Amino acid sequence: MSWQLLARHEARLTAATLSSRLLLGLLIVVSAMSGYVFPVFGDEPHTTAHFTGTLGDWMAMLVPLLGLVLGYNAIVGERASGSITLSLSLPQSRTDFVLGKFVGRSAVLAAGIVVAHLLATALVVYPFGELEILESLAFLGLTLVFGVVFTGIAVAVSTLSRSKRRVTVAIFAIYIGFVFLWQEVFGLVNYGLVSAGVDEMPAPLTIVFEAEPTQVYSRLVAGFLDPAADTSGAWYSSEWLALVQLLAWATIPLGLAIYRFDGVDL
Amino acid sequence: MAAIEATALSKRYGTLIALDRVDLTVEEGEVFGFLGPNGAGKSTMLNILLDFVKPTHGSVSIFGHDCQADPVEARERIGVLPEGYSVYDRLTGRQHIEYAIEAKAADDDPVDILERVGIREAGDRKASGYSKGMAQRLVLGMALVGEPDLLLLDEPTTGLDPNGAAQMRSILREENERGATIFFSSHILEQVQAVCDRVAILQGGELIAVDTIEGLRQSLGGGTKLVITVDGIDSEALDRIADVDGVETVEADRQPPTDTRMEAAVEADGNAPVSTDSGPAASTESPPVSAGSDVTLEVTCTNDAKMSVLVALHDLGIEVVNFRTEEASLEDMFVEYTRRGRR
Repeated sequence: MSWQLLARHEARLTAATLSSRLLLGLLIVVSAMSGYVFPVFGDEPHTTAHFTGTLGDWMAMLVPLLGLVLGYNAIVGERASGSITLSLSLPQSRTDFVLGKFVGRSAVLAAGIVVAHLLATALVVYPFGELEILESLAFLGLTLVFGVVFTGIAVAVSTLSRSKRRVTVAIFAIYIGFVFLWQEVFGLVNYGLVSAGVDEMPAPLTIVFEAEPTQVYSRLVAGFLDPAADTSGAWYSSEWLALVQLLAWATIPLGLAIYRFDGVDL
Repeated sequence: MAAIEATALSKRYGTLIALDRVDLTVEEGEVFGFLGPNGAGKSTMLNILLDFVKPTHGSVSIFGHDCQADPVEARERIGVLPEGYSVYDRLTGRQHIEYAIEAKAADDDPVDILERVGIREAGDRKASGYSKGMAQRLVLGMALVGEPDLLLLDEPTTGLDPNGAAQMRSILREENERGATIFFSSHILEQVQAVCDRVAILQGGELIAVDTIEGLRQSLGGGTKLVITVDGIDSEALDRIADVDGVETVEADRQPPTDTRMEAAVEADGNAPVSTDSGPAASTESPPVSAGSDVTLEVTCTNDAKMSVLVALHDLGIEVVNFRTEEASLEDMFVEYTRRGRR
């Protein structure tokens, strides 16, 4: 099983680069500030369960960025430079190679998320807050999977092309599209339908719109963890479906990419 | 079991046929040279062996493991110096070797390997600062890890100075003596001649010859080269020599063979060197080729034709100042073969 070896190498190298350190630093600082400010300005009660909504919003913006940036260069960078030929001249498969890259880079992001979460939680709890350990840990777990989703998407996109520029453009489009534009488009379509006299979004359209990973993550945090969140909605907006969707996002893009990458000329 | 066995191996890129039904067997323990001009398909062949590229048709195996169906098993017992690689900028030379040791589950000492390829002093520096030659040595070192049974090397002396190239050859010889099969591609013929048991010549994706160097020589009419210095010759006479039975090629060169004759050649300036390539149409007026100064003729011919060439020169009234025979070099054979292949 050589993907473990590859993953260890990859984690060590990724953690050593300046850009990933800066990004992880950003995540930690933002989370800490959020944790510091929450007991001051946030609504009562100040529990770590209520805090998941606040921190979740930040995570929904920053984790996709980190995952995508950490992952996008994993394969295309080696293909563009030619160092992939050294790794694949050794007795290790392409699947192990991609998996190793994915796991190694995910691990770096995961370490950052853990530190950021612990720090923020400590600041909420001390001195006046209340620790609800189960919600806090569940939040950490969800956020880790959420990070894996975006690292996985980035590594998957990274296998698709020999051109670094193309991959970079695709990753940028994914970030802007998912994190900023998706909801706006959703809103516009909704507005259009209401103007046209349709009361309610048709279910299939809603399912598609809500399948986007940051929305899936937010629904999970609201549905399972944040007691202050409004969770009324149709069955297809439930947090249980969201759980399935999150796991699908974590596995399917990367799985398809690995399958396809196995058959291409490098 | 054969080290490498290819059957009807073809690769097409759109309309370009990079490899055309190549059948090739490399026996265990051989040093095998894979020759061809640039773009002949040598790298495509190696890339298919490494499963970087998938063949359009046919199959190839390394020690019985199909390179596409079981790529990891096929790569288990080999060491590779691939084409177009780049080293990992953020790893030191030593870390590269350690990476290969871990991936091959070998127990070599990285320092020994670095020492062997001659970059021990640079081992703890980042590979981003390595010259092309040092990178080449480093990757050779990675290839040597784990005492592979087969070394696959793509243009191994690229970027090496003559010293480095000689060192590379001696390492390859040591590896071969240890029992490793060596398969390498090259367009530099002297190297191949110096170390290979057998060679294959690839052109336009087709294998046009697979033989020992001696065998290639024999199939080219004994491959004798006559180097004759005469006191002057014209194109018509050159054509007559080319028509002698058993003569393959005739090249005339005005350069005198020895330094003492240099002055004479410079004084008799004014005529471009003429070879038989100019053809009969160009030589209707039979302009003299360096009349009055010595001309060196290079004639490749069968062994039996040597005397006939000298007799023919005598009959034409041309004085032979000096002559010697040479074995045809691999380069001559290569040119000859690829020329035939083009017809």
